[in-house]
Amino acid sequence: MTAFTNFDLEDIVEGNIAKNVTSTIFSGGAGSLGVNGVHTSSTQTSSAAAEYYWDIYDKNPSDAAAEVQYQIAYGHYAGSGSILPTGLTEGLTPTRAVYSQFRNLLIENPTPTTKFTMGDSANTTCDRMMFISFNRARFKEQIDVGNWSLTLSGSTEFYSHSITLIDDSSQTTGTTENGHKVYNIISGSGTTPSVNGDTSAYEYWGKIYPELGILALNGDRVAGNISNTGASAASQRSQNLYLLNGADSSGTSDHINEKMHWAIKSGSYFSGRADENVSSTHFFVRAKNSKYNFTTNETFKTGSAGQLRHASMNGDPQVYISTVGLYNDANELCAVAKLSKPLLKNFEREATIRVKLDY
Amino acid sequence: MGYLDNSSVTVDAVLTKKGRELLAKGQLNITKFAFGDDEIDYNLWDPNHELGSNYYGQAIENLPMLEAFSNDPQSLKYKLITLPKNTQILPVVTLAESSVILTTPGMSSVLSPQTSNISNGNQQLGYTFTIANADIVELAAQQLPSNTAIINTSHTPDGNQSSHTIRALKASVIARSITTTQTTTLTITANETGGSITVPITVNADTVLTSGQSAQ
Repeated sequence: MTAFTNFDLEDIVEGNIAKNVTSTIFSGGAGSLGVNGVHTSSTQTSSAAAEYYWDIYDKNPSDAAAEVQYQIAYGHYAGSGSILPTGLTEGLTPTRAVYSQFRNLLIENPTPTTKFTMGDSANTTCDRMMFISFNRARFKEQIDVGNWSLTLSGSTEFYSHSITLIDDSSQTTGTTENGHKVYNIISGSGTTPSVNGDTSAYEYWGKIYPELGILALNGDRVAGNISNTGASAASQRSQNLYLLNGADSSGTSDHINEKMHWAIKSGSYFSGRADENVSSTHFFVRAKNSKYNFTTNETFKTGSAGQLRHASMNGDPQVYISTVGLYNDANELCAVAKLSKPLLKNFEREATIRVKLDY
Repeated sequence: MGYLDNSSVTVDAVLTKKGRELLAKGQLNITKFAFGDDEIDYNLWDPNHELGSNYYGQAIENLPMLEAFSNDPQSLKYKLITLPKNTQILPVVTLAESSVILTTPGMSSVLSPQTSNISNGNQQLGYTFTIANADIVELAAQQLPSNTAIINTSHTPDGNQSSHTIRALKASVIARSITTTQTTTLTITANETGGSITVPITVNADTVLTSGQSAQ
């Protein structure tokens, strides 16, 4: 007689079954963030940290349910485009620190002179980089490549247009860089890449590191300083976002983080999915007909002596299972499963319940 | 001819606070199960239902269930148990103390639950003693049940206010040194006959603590 029953070996199907479980990458099950789903905090954007990155929320930060979805950080190889904090040696600006930080993280064998490179004949090395880093809780194990899309909208005195970015996972199996899986970010729609009108080649806008939750965008394209001599106006336009709209500043901020935020907000569409492997263990919990037909529930008995409350249950007890508890050897309750409705149990009924536990 | 209902009972489990703690340590090893009916009120069983015996449990069976909660000491307070079919008097677990107050560090109190209405009830597997906040009270077995396979673990206070469980026939609760008076609960569950008792344990602040002395 015991309130606990040991599992037989065959009752536990161990959790070595890993499967790709995907979910939306944004809070609250939102499949995408539109123009109303992108917010900043004035407290954060006016802080010293804003020189490095901007936090982007899904709701107005005054809403208690608002959560940071991702961060935007602009990096410049030589440190242009940001103010120089008082006393700091010239060149060691926040934009240079950001560039170095991501270079150390993403590039194999980085040196101080190493630049990010793109599979792009028009711009193989990038002085500028724009990083979008998803909050760790959002992308879980990795971004689901092939299932994200970001529309950026830029405007200058010359051009006003938008570009939609995807990855090239539908075309390649990706590469590995510094131990991280990498795909190219290209322009396109859905899983279909678009090509340049002049060269019929892909337009490489950056790289995605799905396991790190990072979109590393070619800042030269985002800022709009790539100049292809002889390219048509349409081609030129499709290759650049023109956020910088001029030369890099020295010692003053170019406000690229803010401009990038507005490019995303104006684009009005940022979708993505998180991907994780979930190990599940299934426990087959069996209550044979002769087992578990009484309960210690206080309402099952009457008085302090322990008599059954209902005389009709003498010799024919009727109890209900509402909860299954999973214990270890020390009788410590490790997991709890609830049934959606009470399950009747008596000497004429057996119950087999499959309990699924995800790790 | 209608279709047979082929839906099987499949439920998702959630880890308790203790389960998460063990998972983090790589020590999660589930070996046994128990059934509970905490939400069921058997007063709703209606042997006078005018539609007959198939409907006695209608009020219970229509009850929507709440989601599982992860506070392990308070989950599965009432367990389903196995007894002979013609049992008419249920085993009852009792404890002489309705509460325990420990006034100084190191002060202890021995708790000895009893099971009535059944001979030698719980002597083989004993009782499970679970202290909700093991940072303020230490649990120690005073008398082990006859099953020699039972091995208890100790708990080192870690500031996480996590629970600690031991199995014994008798156990003592020992006050730790703390800076403010706190109350926690001790849940005693009978391992064979089921049934549980919860008693509040109050530990008074250590008044002789000196400045700079750490306390859990």
